[in-house]
Amino acid sequence: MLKRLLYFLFVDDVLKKDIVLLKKISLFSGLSKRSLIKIALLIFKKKYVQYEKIYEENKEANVLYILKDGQVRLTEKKSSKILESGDFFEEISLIENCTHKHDASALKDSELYLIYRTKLLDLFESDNKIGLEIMKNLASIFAKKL
Amino acid sequence: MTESLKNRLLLLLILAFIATCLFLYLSRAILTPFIVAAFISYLLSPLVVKLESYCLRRWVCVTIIAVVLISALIGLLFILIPLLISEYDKLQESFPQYYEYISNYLIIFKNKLENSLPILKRYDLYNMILIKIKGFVILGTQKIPDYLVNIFSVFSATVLVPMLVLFMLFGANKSINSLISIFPSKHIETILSVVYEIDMVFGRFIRGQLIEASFVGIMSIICLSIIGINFALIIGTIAGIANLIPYLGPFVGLFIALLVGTFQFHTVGIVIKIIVTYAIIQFLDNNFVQPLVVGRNVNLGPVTMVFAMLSGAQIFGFLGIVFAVPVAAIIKTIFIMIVQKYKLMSAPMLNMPKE
Repeated sequence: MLKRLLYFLFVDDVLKKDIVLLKKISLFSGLSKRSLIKIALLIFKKKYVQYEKIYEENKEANVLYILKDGQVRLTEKKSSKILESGDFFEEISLIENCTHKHDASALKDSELYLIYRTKLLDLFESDNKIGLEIMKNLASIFAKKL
Repeated sequence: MTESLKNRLLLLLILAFIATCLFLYLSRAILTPFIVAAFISYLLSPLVVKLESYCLRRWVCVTIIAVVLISALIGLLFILIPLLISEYDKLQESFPQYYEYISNYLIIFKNKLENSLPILKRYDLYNMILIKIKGFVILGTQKIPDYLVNIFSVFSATVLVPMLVLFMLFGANKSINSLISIFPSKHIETILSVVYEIDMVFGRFIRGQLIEASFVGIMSIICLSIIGINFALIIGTIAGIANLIPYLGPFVGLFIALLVGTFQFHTVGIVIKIIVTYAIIQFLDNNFVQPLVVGRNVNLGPVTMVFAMLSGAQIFGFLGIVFAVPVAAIIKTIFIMIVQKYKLMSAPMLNMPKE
């Protein structure tokens, strides 16, 4: 009982939940808990209402999006793809300075986690292990896509 | 939303913005503690994040930092204040002596100079220099306490600022995030990039400079007191603060130490000792502290930096000099961002396939 009270008082449960979410994501697999916390602290959380546009094609891309809750649709010309919670998109923006190749909009009320590229690269610089691990995961993700 | 309604809302926003600015301008007299508190909490925020990475709630982190800092400050004050007061008394006491020494030296110098260059007799160089020095030093030494009191009234320094710092450390990140969220979501990436880039350039530079300055200050105090120079504490503090100014700063401490040293010992040996000491401090600072704290450089050329510093000094005085370089770096970052955006926007248009 006391232990639970102390836990409730001192431990940041929002951060704990974020880590549980991050742990499921393939981009961050193989990372230790402390590394995940470091990444979780970089997150900017944003809520989108139903049918709100997240970004438009040809706009500058410098953010990695992680879908926490809700549904997001990516549309490129005629084809489209629906993402569920736990998916991430625009991971290409972590590697190079580029533009969005498609539109994205929220299908339901959604909460997204935004990670700004330079901040993450900064973390890579100070903690090379995280950088190596994430780059490995990114490479395997792109390899599977082709 | 219809166009007219949108325009009316925009007008309302602009009016609210102007009203806020006017209000802030009218209440500018009480703004100082808020700005100081915001600055301090900005400096401390990486510490909070560091503690947060142990999965602690924010209030726990802030409490830990507050306890550690306050006890450290109280300890420092107990050691430093008596020392500073005694040095200040000594300075006021021995100043006439130094003054006499300077004037004697100047008389000798003047005679020598006038013998070799008789034209100079026409100008009363001696008195001119002496009056300048006297006015400068007397004004300077008498004004120091006034200056400190003016910046920080006792109340705001001891109660208001620490309290504001605690509150800001606790809640500012949330308010900033909600402020960012107000912007329409299609601009969110731009806003994030502006905020984060500015934060990175500015924060890294200012924190790095402060760590460096305190390193130089503390090292100067220690080394000068080992050599046995009077007023080591005051000289070291000035050297530390002056070190915030690029290029010129390191020489200020050296110059003052040399002056006091020659007055005190009247030997060449002390001059060499002081120069060697400062060379060692600067060497340690440049090779071991700077790479650790600054990390990435601000990427400004020397000419740009000197121009920024001088224009900062022209507009805002000493604080202008200190903040000129990071502000110039921010302007450069934003400029680069705009150019990059423009390039990215125009690139797809050029490569558009013909249909």
